[in-house]
Amino acid sequence: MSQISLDPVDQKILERAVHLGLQHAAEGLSGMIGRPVRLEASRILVLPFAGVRSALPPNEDVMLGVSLTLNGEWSAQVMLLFEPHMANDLVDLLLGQTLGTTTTLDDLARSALAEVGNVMGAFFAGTIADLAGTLFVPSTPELSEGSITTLLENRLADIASRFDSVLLIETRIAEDQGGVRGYFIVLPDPMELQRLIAVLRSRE
Amino acid sequence: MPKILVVDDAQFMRMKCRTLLKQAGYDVVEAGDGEQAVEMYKTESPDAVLLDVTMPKMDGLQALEEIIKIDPEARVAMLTATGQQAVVKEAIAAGARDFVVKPFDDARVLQAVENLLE
Repeated sequence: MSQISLDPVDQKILERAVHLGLQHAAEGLSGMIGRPVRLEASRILVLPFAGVRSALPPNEDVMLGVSLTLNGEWSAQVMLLFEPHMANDLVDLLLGQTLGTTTTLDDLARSALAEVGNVMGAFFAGTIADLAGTLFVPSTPELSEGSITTLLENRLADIASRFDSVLLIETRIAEDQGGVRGYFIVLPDPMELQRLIAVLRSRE
Repeated sequence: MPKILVVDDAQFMRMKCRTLLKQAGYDVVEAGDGEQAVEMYKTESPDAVLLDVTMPKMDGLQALEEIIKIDPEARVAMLTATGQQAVVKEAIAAGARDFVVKPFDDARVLQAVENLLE
């Protein structure tokens, strides 16, 4: 199986593009809820598969995940993770309801959360696409629940069959008034990553 | 009362558009994917269409092409989170008259509908 490696120059090139993409993703969420959203502790890590889980929050309770695939010349898995009570608060903000109104997720609430994934994924993808002069198309988002381990395994299965390690792009999402916190995770397809970095480098 | 066809696979987005447009005095019909959109265009004859790009079964760009085949004068604005230049160009080339990026400002959507109906 293949390994991922990033030299320091490539890491910097990718970090600049990713940071801009993450900023725009946060702006997309901010636009949806009408409140400022900031990113905390963004990082890009090359990890063995066994290390991915330990790099994420130490929480094995049920999480809500919104997942989608970015397709194009470069593909990636994108995942938003929220603790259930945070997901409920996010739904209230999206629907213009008083915080605490949503206690269970009906179809409308699940649709609203999926749309958050759609917007944030599209904003991230659009930024990278414009920087690289290419096109990425986000898939229809899927909502699922489970432990972080389960949610990740479902998304990483294809990459795990071909690579020994994974590139993890992760940031914490925090709304300024403290109402919503979550995680935005991007897992690029390693085979296409070097090509993407080469294009970004040539366009800098 | 002008009739607007709102097409989006997200129930949440259809609800937002429906609420906004009804408050502005429009009649609203909805479709949840591109295939439904094409059928509803034939049966409902809307005055304008708000059409999402990323949808299952048939995406918005394919639906746009099918609607334009039915009615070359169809008044369609794309409504999407994918504001990439290549997508915008493809939509305009296929016959879309406007492109509204999500998350949308209510005034922007209403302006897009007004422009379509002019």
